[in-house]
Amino acid sequence: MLYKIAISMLCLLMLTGCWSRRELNELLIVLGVGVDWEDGHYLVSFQVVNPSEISNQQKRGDRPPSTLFQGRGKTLFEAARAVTAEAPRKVYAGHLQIYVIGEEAARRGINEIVDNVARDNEARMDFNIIVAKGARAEDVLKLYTPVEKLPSYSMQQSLQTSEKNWAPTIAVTLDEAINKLSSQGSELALTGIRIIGSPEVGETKQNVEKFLPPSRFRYSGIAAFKDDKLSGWLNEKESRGYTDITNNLVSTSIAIPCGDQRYLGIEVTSSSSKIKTRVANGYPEVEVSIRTEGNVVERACTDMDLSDPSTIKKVEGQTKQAILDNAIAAVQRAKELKSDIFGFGTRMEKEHPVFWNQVKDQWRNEYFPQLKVTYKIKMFIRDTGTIENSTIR
Amino acid sequence: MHQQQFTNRSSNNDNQMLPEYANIPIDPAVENNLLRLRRDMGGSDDLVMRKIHNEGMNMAAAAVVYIDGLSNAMAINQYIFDVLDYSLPRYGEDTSTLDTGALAKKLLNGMGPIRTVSDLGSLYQSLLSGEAIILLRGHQYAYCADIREWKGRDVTESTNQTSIRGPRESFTETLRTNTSLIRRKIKDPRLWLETVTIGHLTKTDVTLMYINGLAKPSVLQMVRDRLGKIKIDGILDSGYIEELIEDNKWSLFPTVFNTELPDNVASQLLEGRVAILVEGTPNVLIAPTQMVTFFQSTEDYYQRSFYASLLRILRFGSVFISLLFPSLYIAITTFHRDMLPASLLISLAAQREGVPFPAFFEALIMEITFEILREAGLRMPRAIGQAVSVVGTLVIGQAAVEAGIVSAAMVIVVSVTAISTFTLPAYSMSIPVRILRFAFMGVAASFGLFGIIMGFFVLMLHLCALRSFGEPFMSPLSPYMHTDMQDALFRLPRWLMFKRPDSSMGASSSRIRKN
Repeated sequence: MLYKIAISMLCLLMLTGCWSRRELNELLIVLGVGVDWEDGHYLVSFQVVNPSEISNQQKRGDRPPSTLFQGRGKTLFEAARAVTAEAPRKVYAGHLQIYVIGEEAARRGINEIVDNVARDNEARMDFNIIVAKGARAEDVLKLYTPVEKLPSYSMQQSLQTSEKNWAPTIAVTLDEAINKLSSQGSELALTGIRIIGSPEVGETKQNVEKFLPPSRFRYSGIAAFKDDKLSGWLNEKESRGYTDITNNLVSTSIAIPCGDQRYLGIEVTSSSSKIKTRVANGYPEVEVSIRTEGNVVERACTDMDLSDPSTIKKVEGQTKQAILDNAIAAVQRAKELKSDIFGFGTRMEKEHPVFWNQVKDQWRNEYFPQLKVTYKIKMFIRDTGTIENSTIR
Repeated sequence: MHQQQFTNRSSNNDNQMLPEYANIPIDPAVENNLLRLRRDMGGSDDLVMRKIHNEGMNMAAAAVVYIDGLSNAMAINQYIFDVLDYSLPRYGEDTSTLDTGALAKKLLNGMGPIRTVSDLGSLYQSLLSGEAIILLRGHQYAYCADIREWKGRDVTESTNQTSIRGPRESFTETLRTNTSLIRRKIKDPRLWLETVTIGHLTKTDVTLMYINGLAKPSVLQMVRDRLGKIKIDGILDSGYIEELIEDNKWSLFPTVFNTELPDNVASQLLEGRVAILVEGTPNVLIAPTQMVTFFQSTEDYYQRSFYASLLRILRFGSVFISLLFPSLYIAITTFHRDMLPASLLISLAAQREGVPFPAFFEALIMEITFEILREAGLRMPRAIGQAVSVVGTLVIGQAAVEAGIVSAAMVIVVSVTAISTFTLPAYSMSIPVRILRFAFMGVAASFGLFGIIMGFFVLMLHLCALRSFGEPFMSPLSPYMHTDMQDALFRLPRWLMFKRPDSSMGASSSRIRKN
């Protein structure tokens, strides 16, 4: 018995990878990482939590809820390690929430960044990656945010909520990004984050002392990548189309013009899409089917009789047109950027592997920009809310 | 004063005699015996000897010997002397030739059974257990009248095993009271008793109770054999017996159940188990026993089965908590931080800011403090005990957190752990859990979750290897016994519990008659 215990204890000591004992107060809990490319160096910013500022228990000081530690280096690892020259503890990336890539770094290529993070044993694969649109990642992470004290947390929550309820954003996690980057038939698309107002104000506590913070972040646009390099941005309309085609859309709002400066509000409650590929006369074709259900949530035009089924039919048609417009615009823009962010190529690879093998090398530059895309859109209005026509005459 | 009248004492005490007295015959001369008794007992003044002289005779015709405080002196005065006075003179000086013994015995039968002993060993056995010894001149026998009576505790409500519903009474220190409490619940001739005397000096009566036909003969024989093998000078509590008859003497886990509730013993007897009652203690041993028995409260059988099942699951859960919670906390916060949600991690980290000790030492400090408080609360005079322990816990917990020595989360962990220990109805099972908790904290601090899982494997292997009187300790979980699962992790409604447990005899295993 003693012998068995001794053997199992030895196994525990020798065989497990459990040597990394670190107490909670020896950690710098990193919630957000920002990467910028600056003068031939990587500038890595770690946004770490000041736990004592977050806790309910202790008195709040005047320190910010989180602190930024920065390191500079030729490789990301070097930059990350350079942080220890400033930081009192070693960083712990296991709870990383959001990874912000500066626009300049994104245009340079994100392979190194993704590679470095994926290699790290501490970081998980489930944090979200975003691109700072026209800004430096560093500035995004320096923002004082209202409600949620931790900016990274605030950004991550906002991204998750808007992905579900607002069409033009997608929450891409590291593993999804790696999938996209490693496949030839689809390109990476990441949501962009923009800073409204001046970053200098956002950095100070005054920012959250106002009703409307002068400086705040906002998700806007989708960054289309070609290979690992940022090649262009999709505007809001195109972003809507993108999320709709790629089946990322859950719920959103669509506005249908119904009169002079008046719009009917449609809430999309569910939307699903399917991409089918065909090869016709040696040329690839793609059919995008979108099936959307929605409710009428705002009736701005009094002349519309929502109790009449034919009106509903009409609204359905108009909504369908709006969806179609978005989709066409998105595909158009992607073709311009020569970036198959929809993954049509991947679909083609699965459905027509022989054809794909012939065209895969020319797909991005020749086949995709000339791809014939047809749309089959179904739209159903299911409900008009708790009332039919407005009581207001 | 509580009166204990003993009747029908059956004892096979011949092999338990003090060797030096076993074969010494009783002298026909009463005086010689009395001298001998006085000398043997060093002139102890609770030894009362009263002589009866025949008229005109110097030598005593008879003597009554008893121990003051163990026998009913009133009975001796009123009855024995009356009878002796009445019967002796009538035969004048011929007492040595006549069978006065038989006559006296006949007369004395009016007040209870009379036993005849022929050697000093048996005489002492009877005398010191409170019987009155009647010596008659010219007889090689002594007559023992059972007039035992001493002060004992009343049958009161159990303070250690309380319940909301069900019988309140608990065992006392008197063996005969205890057997009667069980007899009153099982009025069947098949409820058998066997008494042995154990202890060279204490000569403690130990009684086996079982239902003939339900108890497995193999188990019964094993219990008899093990009791027979005990060679010890004294038995003061059933704990002595428990330690001496356990299968695995080095295990942390008790493999003999003990209880002070008669209804618990009765229910276990009905399941074919053997009860071991020891004179002088209210704790009755039950063998064989299983792990799940320690999770069963008698109340489980009196409340509705749904409630009982819920409580069972709760108890199993709380044992896991009290065994593993501190070690899981240590392992997760020091090795596997990834397993915590980010907001919880930050909150825990905030609490740990400024705490100077590693989580393991923090937990150790708090656990040891709690164990000290618990022990102090138990040993302190009852009047101040509870207040001091409650205040102590609060003050130490609160003050330690405010002083920044331990984190608030740790105080919660330790408190929950401590409270969980108390859900177990059997105190004896909470002791190994308390000890093993420290072991688990150690492996958690050195090896993290891997250590905990390995430790748990070792624990499970050990538990599954345990036997209680040859019966597997982890049954019905391992080996899996389908019918016994009716009353293991949960309790089925009474009308679904048809079968007696597997550990009882198969022959009459149906509990409920279906007709």
